[in-house]
Amino acid sequence: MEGLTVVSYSLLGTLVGAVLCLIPSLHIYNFAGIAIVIWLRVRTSIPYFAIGPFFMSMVVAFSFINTIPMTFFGAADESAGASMLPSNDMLMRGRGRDAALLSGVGTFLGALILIVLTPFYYHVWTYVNVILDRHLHWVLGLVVVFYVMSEWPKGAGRGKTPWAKFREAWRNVFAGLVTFVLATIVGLIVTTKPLAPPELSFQNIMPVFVGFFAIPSIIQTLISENKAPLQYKTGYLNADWADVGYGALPGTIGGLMCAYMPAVTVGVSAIFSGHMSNHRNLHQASFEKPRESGTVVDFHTPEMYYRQERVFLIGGGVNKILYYVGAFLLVFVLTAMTPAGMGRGGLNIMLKPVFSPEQGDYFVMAATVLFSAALSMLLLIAFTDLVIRFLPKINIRAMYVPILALIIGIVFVMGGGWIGLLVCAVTTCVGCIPVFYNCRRSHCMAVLLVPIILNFAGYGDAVARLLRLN
Amino acid sequence: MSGVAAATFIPEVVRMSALGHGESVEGVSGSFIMLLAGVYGLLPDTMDFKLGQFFSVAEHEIDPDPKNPDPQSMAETFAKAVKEAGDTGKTVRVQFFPIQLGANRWRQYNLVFEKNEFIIQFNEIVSTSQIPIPGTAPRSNRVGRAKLAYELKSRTSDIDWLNTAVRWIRQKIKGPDRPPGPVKPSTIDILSGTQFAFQRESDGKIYFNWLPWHRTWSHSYVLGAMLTLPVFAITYLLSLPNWWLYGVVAFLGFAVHITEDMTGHIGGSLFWPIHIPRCEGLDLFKPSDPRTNFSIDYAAMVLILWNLDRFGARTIPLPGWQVLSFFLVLPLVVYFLVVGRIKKKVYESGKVTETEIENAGDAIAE
Repeated sequence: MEGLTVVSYSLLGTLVGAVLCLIPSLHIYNFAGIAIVIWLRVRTSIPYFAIGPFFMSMVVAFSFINTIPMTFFGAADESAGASMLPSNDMLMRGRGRDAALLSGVGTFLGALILIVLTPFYYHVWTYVNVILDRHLHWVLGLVVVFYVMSEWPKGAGRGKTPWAKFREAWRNVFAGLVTFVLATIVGLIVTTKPLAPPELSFQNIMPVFVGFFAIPSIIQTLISENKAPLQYKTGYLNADWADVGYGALPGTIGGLMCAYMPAVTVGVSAIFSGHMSNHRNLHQASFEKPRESGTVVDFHTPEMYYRQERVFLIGGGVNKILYYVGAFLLVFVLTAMTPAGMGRGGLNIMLKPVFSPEQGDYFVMAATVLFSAALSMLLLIAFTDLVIRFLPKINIRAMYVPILALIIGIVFVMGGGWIGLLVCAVTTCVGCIPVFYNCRRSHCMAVLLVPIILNFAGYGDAVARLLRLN
Repeated sequence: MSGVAAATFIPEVVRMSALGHGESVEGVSGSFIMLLAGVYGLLPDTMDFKLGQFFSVAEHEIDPDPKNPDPQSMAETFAKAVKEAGDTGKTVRVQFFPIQLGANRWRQYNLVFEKNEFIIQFNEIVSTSQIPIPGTAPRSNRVGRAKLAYELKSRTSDIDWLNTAVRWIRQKIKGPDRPPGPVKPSTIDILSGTQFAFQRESDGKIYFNWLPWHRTWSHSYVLGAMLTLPVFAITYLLSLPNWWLYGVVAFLGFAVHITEDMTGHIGGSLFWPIHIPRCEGLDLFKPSDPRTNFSIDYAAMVLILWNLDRFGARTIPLPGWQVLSFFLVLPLVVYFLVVGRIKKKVYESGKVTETEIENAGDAIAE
């Protein structure tokens, strides 16, 4: 009976997650917050042991289905940093279905990797966890250093003088630094002075994230002139097994990184994993020799550029599920060395006050991941086919107007009322900088990264006092 | 990451970095000393790509008009620069710029260097992912050609004592150098262009120097030492315990980067400003080879964890040789075997064509 209840709630979580994730710009954590509030009101009628599977399957479904709004409706959350550009490109070439399914294949592969790695979590990762426990402040600091310093100038450096060249090229780098500093300031304020009332404290950071990521994406879509062309549908997937192999490595490295490290998201970790494991370069890197001689040299594009696109999407899918689901699954790895598990992430933080994992839960959750992943993959295929059929008839801009109203309503009700809206407005302005100046959106993650680093290192209070925030 | 790994070999640095290290000035707070290895490790390339390249002002800039690019005049400008370098004996630089057509659209072009001729060819429009859009190659005015007054060569023959020493080491490791091949074709498409410098040498040929601003002054041990002086000064003035270690760690990050770069093709100006010319590298690894990055990064991660454990937590119940065998050597051996097989297969399979174009599928009807 208990097993049937778990299956039922996993099914319910998958369906609820899948349907709600179709709404562009809304993050599953927004709905998870609402679900927790509902559960707190009716907790006697829902069995406690079903809570874990319900929320787990919701997040699994989100990892799959949020590919649809990200690909077709232009609603990018932070994790889109790993897969947005190629999927947007493919959509405009009529290949949106390929993009969504490649990302889905990566996500499904990631679910399998997540489970296959079980012995690794128990016998290796626990040691890594204990070793790094006292060093996380500088490890996270290095992550920040790398992703800030590795944003290279995107301008071509035109100008008559070095200064003119520098100014033209540095626009995106400078915008990134400004975003980083402003996000840091916001982070130091909101982590010191909570916005939401105590009963909704798990939603304290929500208005900030809505402002940094959701609303700028909506603004971008509202002013965009782009209209997706007719989409192609093929009877197969435009990838081979090698792509899956090439995508698995960076996806796993990046996914484990953000599943373990607090506030390190897919966009940030993808920079590392891409640098570390860019195996598309096994193919010839430069443009290949002429196929035939003649007046025109007739170079042709090496396979690696086509492969790059596919690997990027598959790797992004792996990374995404390891991040969202892995971070929650690691909560259930209870050993003598990790009595409180090793979980991170938003869902863990939200559920912590009301839910504690117990010995033996891990395998129930692993089964939930597999069940929900299989179902979500099928739903992704079905929803994608549905979306490409109706895409030409959908007025994306009109669709975003009620969504914007809904988001503002959620921020007002759950994010601290007018103060929440004010914070959201401020972070929207900051979140628009990367959108319009073409720098990394991950800079906005400084809102969490810097306060966490300072707190881990033991300087949080000192900095708050220095800024007169205490 | 290698610089950080090197820093973790200093036990006191690991102890200072750990939370709860009571001897540090911060009490229970952890030191950020490791960040210095990271920051300084990234500094040489940061200085090149974010600063140095803008100070290398080219004598000839080739910036094609996006609406009406003229490959013939571009090729002629290039040939003029080569002639100028040959005639005057001075270093002449040429800067090519990309052709941006839209937010996510670029016109790709190839630069082909033949013995006595330079060719520019426009290709398809590509996206920022470098994926070409079929059918967008120009139908006319696509190729420009210009005769070169001097022959180009890809390797310098006027070498100093440092380059001689590096070549000697390289030949000891790899055997005699293969004869230098022709200058390789280059492709310009997204974001930034490229710069070449031409220098006439004693054999009358022109040494073709790609990215003349890269790995020069920024890749110098002397500069690295000078840049760590403020770190020594600040930590000394703040009276931090083990103040001198901060500067040492910063220098380690910088020096490890330069040393690693020396294993590649380009090398560096190792003793700038004392000895200015850039010397070649040992040419042991190609930066584009994924095996290099992966194996170095992986090894660095394992070494960092191993050092943090043996100088701190001491939780790993295995002796050091077993840790390194099981977690470093064995995985890398398996990795190289697997990647070696894949690479062999890739090369045996020959060139793969545009799957995207051939498998276009059917359009969905409304």
